[in-house]
Amino acid sequence: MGATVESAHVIETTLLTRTFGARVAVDRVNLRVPAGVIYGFLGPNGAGKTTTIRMLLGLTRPTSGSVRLFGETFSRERRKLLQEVGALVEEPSLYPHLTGRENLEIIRRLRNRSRQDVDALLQQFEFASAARDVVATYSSGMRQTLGLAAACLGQPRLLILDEPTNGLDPGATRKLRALLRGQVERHGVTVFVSSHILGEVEQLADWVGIIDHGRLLFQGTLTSLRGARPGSLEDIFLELVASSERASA
Amino acid sequence: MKDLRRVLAAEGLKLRRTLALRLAVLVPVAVLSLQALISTQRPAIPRFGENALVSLGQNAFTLWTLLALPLHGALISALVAAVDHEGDHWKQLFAQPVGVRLLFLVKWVAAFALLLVSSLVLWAGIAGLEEAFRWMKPAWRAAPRPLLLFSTTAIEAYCAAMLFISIQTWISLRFRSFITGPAVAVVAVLVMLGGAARSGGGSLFIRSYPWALPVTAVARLAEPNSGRLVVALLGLFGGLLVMWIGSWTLERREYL
Repeated sequence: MGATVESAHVIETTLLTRTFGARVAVDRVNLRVPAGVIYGFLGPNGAGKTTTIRMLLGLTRPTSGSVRLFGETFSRERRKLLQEVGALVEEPSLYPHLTGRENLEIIRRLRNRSRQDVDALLQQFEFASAARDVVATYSSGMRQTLGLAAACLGQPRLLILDEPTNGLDPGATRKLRALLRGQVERHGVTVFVSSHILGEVEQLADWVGIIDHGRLLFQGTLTSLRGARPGSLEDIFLELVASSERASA
Repeated sequence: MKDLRRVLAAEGLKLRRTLALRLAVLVPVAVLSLQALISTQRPAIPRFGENALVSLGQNAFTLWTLLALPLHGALISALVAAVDHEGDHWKQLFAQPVGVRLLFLVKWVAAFALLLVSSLVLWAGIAGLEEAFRWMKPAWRAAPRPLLLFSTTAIEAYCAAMLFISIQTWISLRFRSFITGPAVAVVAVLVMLGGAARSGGGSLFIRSYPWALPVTAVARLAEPNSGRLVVALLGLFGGLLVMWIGSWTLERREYL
């Protein structure tokens, strides 16, 4: 990313809005994600998390507003930006008739990375032996791990993960958390992770954004969220969501 | 060009162990088996003036282009598209640092490549059958080997098929339902048969209808006919044009 203008925020959206007919899925969202943090994007089901993530990745066009990654817009630098971004949108996108290694090989070819990158990644994720089997035989935890490995291929500076722990048992969730922490601590990656599970975000994230009915209700560090209001984090979250529902009613 | 190579290499890997790859070999083999069965029933001594080997090739190419190819082509293109429709792989692919249009263009290339594999299997099979029947039926040895004629015909039939394969690929990529492409092919074949019955095999309709181009390209092999080349060129350039327009429209669609 040598030519890219360095920005204080890895992700920066301005009045990001997306409507589907009369329904407003994302409503004037201003995200500010600093570099080198795990940013938990928290909200109930249908709050607008996935639509926001799709817009961050350029999969869905905003109705209005803008998205900047590393200070650049998609319209100008799409391919260069995506070289720096690894993504896992909803469930992992894997070809069940291919082995785990072959699935990574497809991403490697598309991202123009070396074979050594795949080997190193399989070592790092302790997945070398499982990668010889076809994906159709994998458990959901193994699929999720492979999906995350695919997102990390080529050492992206930003990981965008949509509900990565969906369908995982507690053991696999813990392993996934450790893998993400490792990416941040060892490689300085910024992680933007969406979830509807408060406990998960609490254990994982440094920063948090709370979204409901398409509107960003809070954005800041986890400490500042705790400090701003009395009660447990769950109470704060439920109060924010309830006040948003009252406002939209 | 480097991007194209990378995306093609990824597409090739995706096709590994797929039904599309198996069908590309199995369907022409089935046609050749049927032709072998038919040829064993033919008289040991050909009619006066008949080149039995040309008849063998004519029958095999007609069986291929009339009965097998329209549905085989539709199935191949639907399976190539289904590799990424199933499991909704598009979101992952569009999040990679490659052009969206390129991701679609290689789907056409994959469909054309699988059709090429089928055409090569058919061509090699016809040549093999020819040798086998020369050995089994000594009277057939008198006729010269029509290898050049069969090679030209296989190339012309392949080029002529590119237009309808291209249309089928566009439909299969545009609509996520697997059945849409083959359903369109069934209707298209019925229209072709209806059109041929109504206006005759040599009509302008049949010489320009995309699904009828391959069978037109292999008609009356024993006679010199420059019309076959025209049909092949129509298929080739029409197919490339549809690929270009199709990938452009797909690139502009919003992924939801």
